[in-house]
Amino acid sequence: MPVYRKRRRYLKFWIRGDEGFSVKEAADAIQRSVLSLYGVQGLSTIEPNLIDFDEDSQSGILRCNHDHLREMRASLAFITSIGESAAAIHVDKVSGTIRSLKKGGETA
Amino acid sequence: MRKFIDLHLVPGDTDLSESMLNEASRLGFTCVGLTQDTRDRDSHDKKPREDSLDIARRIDLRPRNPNELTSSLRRIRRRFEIVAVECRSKPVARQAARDHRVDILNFPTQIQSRRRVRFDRQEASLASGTNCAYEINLSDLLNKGAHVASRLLSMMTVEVENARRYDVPVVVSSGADEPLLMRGPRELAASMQLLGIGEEESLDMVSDVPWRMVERNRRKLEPGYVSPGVRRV
Repeated sequence: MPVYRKRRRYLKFWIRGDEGFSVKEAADAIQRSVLSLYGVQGLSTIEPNLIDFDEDSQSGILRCNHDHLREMRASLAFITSIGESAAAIHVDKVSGTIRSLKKGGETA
Repeated sequence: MRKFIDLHLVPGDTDLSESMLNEASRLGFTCVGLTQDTRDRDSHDKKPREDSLDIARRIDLRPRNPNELTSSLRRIRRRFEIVAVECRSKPVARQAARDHRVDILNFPTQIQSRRRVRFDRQEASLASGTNCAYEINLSDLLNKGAHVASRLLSMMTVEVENARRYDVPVVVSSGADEPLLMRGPRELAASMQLLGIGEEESLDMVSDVPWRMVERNRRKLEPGYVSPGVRRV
């Protein structure tokens, strides 16, 4: 019996800002941006999920639904602040698996 | 492989422009349009950069009336690769769309002003005859409240439709005046999804469309250029 498997995209990103941000602040900012641009339904279809975040390098890996990569990118582009301070999130690479992303996946 | 261009960076001073150019290179742009003042004496374009980022000189004109626009164009056209006009009134917008020397049309970001001066069908029809492009700056939408951003988005959606109807090229730029407002090329393109623009078309708006414009204008600025297809040898 065929089993439906969700396809996902993993985005390697880095944060540019005047100060360092915590995992919670980064995750909140991403979720808030998706919510303000696409609403609750968008949040449920895009399914943003912060997989990994390194507070030292201010970079991390974010997962989203494969069919909604553009929405995810647009939501990240609209982030202008994290917490109280100004910041921007830039996508470095996109891949279908975390392993290839860490190896150096292609920019999609 | 696509060459991405952010055609509108507006750094206030030299230090800021250096950090914005470094950021543009890091974000994956091949070329940037650096807005300069008429008094700026080409501080960047003469020096070759280590990261091989190509810099196109750009000027944003803010004329108060059509006469001021034509006299400014006469003075500066041959000094800049990209000439953009911020249309603050309808007569200026009409004149800019009619003039072959104008490359890009910009419109006000305040809702009230945008209602008066916008990229309507008549404007699009005039612009299609002169190959003038309509520019969308992402910075116009950032840091705005939900109400203002939504109104701007709906106005821009109609304007993009007008541009498509009359085959007017559309360019997407960051319009950033600081590094934190800069976005990567694929993020700029993805944001166009909010205006109902497809993936390939929006990627063209940050690559092929502005690149064609820069190349065309560079050819025109070369010595010996007479008219399209004609060169003095």
